[in-house]
Amino acid sequence: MLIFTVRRFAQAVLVLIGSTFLMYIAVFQLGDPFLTKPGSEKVVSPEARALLHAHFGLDKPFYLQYLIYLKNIFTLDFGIDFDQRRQVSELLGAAAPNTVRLAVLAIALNVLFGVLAGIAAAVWKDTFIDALVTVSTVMLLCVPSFVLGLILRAKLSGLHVFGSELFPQLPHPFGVEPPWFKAVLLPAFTLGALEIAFVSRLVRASMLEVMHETYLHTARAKGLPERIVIFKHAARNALLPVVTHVGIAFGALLGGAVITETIFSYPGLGYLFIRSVANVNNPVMLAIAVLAVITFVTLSAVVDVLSAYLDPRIRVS
Amino acid sequence: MVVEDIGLDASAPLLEVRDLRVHFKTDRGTVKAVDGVSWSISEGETMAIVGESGSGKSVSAMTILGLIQSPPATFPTGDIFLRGRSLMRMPEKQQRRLRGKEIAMIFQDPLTALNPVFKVGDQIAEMVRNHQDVSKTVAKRRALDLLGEVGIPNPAVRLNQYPHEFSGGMRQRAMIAMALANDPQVLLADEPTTALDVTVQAQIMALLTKLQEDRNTAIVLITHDLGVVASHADRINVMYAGRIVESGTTDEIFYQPRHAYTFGLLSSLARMDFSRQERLLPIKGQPPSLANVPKGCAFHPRCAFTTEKCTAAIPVLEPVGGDGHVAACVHSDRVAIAYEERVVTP
Amino acid sequence: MTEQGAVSPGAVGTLSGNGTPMLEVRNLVKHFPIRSGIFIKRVIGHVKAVDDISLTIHKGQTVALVGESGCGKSTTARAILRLVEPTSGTVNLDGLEVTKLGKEKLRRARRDMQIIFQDPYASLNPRMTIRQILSEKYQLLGSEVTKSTISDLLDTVGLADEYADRYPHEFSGGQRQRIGIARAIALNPKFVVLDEPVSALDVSIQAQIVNLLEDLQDELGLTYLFIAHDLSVVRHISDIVAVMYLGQIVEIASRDDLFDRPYHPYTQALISAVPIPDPKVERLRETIVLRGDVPNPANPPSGCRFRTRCWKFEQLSESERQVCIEEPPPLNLVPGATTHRSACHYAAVREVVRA
Repeated sequence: MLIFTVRRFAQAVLVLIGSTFLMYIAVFQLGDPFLTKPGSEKVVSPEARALLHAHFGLDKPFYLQYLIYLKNIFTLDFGIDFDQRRQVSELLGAAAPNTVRLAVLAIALNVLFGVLAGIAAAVWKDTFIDALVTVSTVMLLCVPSFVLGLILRAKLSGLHVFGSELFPQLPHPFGVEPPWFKAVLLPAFTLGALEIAFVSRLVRASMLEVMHETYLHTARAKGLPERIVIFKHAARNALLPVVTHVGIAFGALLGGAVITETIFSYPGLGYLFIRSVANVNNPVMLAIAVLAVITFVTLSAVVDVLSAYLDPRIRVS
Repeated sequence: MVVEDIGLDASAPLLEVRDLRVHFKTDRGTVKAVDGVSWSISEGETMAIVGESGSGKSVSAMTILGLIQSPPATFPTGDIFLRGRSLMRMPEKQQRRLRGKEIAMIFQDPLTALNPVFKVGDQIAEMVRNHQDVSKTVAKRRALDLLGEVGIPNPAVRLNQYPHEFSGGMRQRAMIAMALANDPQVLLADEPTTALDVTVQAQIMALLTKLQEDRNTAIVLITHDLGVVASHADRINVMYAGRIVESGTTDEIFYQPRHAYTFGLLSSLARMDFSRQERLLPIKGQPPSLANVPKGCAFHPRCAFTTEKCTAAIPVLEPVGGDGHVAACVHSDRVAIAYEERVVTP
Repeated sequence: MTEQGAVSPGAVGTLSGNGTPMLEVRNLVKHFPIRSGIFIKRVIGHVKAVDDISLTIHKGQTVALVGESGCGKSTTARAILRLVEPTSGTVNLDGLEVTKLGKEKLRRARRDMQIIFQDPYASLNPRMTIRQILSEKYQLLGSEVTKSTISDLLDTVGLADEYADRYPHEFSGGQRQRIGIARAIALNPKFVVLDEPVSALDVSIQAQIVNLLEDLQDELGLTYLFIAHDLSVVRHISDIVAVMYLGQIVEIASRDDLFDRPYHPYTQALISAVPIPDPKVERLRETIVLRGDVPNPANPPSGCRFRTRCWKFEQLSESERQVCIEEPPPLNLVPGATTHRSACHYAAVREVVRA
């Protein structure tokens, strides 16, 4: 187990080095990222440009630049953004916790409901429950996430229940910052709903495969109550592919759910990214991209290690 | 022993199956997996249920432990009695107390019969703790003792390993250890050695025999291997297409077969102690689909002795010799003659 | 290895057959590398699946290769057909050195050497009809398929013509195996490898298929290499039997010699473990129960590979045991025999079939 973990994380480090290097080449070597784009409204002032050049060492030799770039990543220092002359890391620091909350809530929703729905559909296969789950998940999967998001925003934002506001009014009235636990609900539900559909189908298929396994006969032959047979013996095996999927999805969400956050004006990394694309705010874009890669690769490694922990057969390879 | 609280009758046979039918509704029609099967077993006895694939032997055993999901299965007739007390009419909760305690089962492929994500020791301990009110430590200790008892070397190390780290023979030993953890009175062994090499098979059968001697367990041996049956069974029930077609002691079945199927089966075997026979004598055709069992005697389309009497009605088990030896064949006398006439040349 | 009676494994398995051998295998070796490492997987050892096998099969003969799981018999069969590439050694089919052939020539040579697999369910493509499966055979190797070709072929294996347009899942195990056989013999091969062809079938069907295989052998003059673990069927169908253990042949003899006068302790244990469907005979027999499990083929024991489980080893003196530990036993002729060989320093005959 230990060897597996070490090996897996060592591989992750290699991947990180490789991908950040590629990004470095793409961004810094194939043109000046801090130049004004021809035809763009935004003009990068020469002072800002000089500052950034100095900061990123663009006047220095190639290998020094790369080292500076790496150092910046480690110290989370991505320079100054074009827009408001603030430290990029500040911007990220404000947006990141929102994204994390969103990701965690979305994953929690989809794991909780998706797994339960999937198990129910498998255990009561071909009954009304199974039909309900299958049909609703198919319907949900047919709806693109942005459509669902737009519908929810149109219908539910500003909804008042028992006199108090449940979902924040969108667009935000000027100066009003809704508390995060209300702001996060609709986006989380949007993201979660589609994932619930996917996860429950995955769990259902996986459980159906597992339900025929002989070790469940053995478990019942021991006289174990059915709920232990299902939730301990069957689910443990059936959830292995789900762990991988959910882990990857979580990793992706942590990089920022661009479309959903934009629809709900939710101040997370995705929304920040979109705005900086619109404003051609390169340092921010670069920073978010780098963070997203790092998060994703790390999480993939964690997922693999977790899978190996859950399924001892994986450790052998 | 659970006698007192479940009200078992100590004078009734240990385990009795009476007129059991297990039918499945499928789109192809009703699959009659078990169609009127009766047998009983006493303590310390080894009774073999012999049949090929589709004979219903596994389903009948699994029904005893309530492992057949109903729906889609239905049980139109029949019951199963443990010391006189009906299992099928018993509330599920009480049945579960008997499973793994009074009656235990081992399955054919020990790799798929053990849960791959739990340690072997934990799976055995789970069996113990489900029926005995002991702590985790005591249960683990018991698992360790059991692994040693079934001849697994280094049991302390093996306790914490996973099934895929065991060899096939060791896995089957572990399954046996688990099945015997609570000292059951009856062990149902569903093709326990089919997936194993022949030398390992010999080890496992020797182990079962020894454990049976030590504990006086009754063993129901479900198999298609007539060699294993010849060396280990006291009595035999031959099944075909969901029914018992012949029943008797081992010697009676092998030396006085009275059902055409039994006779055909014995004649078709290649034997290691015979130097070249001219040709093997197969049974023509193939076993029927259980959704479409032939009318009357299910074996008649493949039978060398068949006449119109065979399709008129389903033959009933009738005495054909020594007491207890029964066969469901209208032409059992012709089978007897054919058997005597067969020249046996080693 | 030049002692009296010891022969380089070249000349084993030759018996009264017609003059030229159909199949000659010399010093066949197949090692599978074991890789391990953190990033770059380096080869840290080898699984010695087949470790110096030599065999000769004459035209029309059936040679059986028996042993338990992990002994290498299936790998041997596949290496002979170059379905896996041998690590070293030569294979000659009717004079043609198969191991030297390039891709194209090998493909054409495959016409003459076929294989029938154990699992009739897995070896037929479920998306093709029987007609398509069989016709493909002809098309691949450049033969013509006429109107009657497929029905004749099905007739040879005892299947009705009308089955040709059905799919494999519509057939029973025995019927599927017949289709597998039809596919193998479609182009009149010279040599057929049968890898446990009846193990997956019901007992009453096994006899049908065994009879069919024997009939085809007579009709078409086929040469068989029969891989099996079921010694009862082996006794019925083979001319010569070779027993394998951990990648090596430990005993080889004509059929009756092997069963009635086995010399190697493993052969004796193996035969004694096979139950005979006859209660009176069984009551008189003694089973030699072997200790322990088969050793890891990546790391076989020194000297004689069987010594860790050998019942005879336990009866030997200390100095005798040293021989077993240090020297690998050569495959020598047993006393008084011309073709019966056994690889044991202390080989002695023992009755294990009957009492």
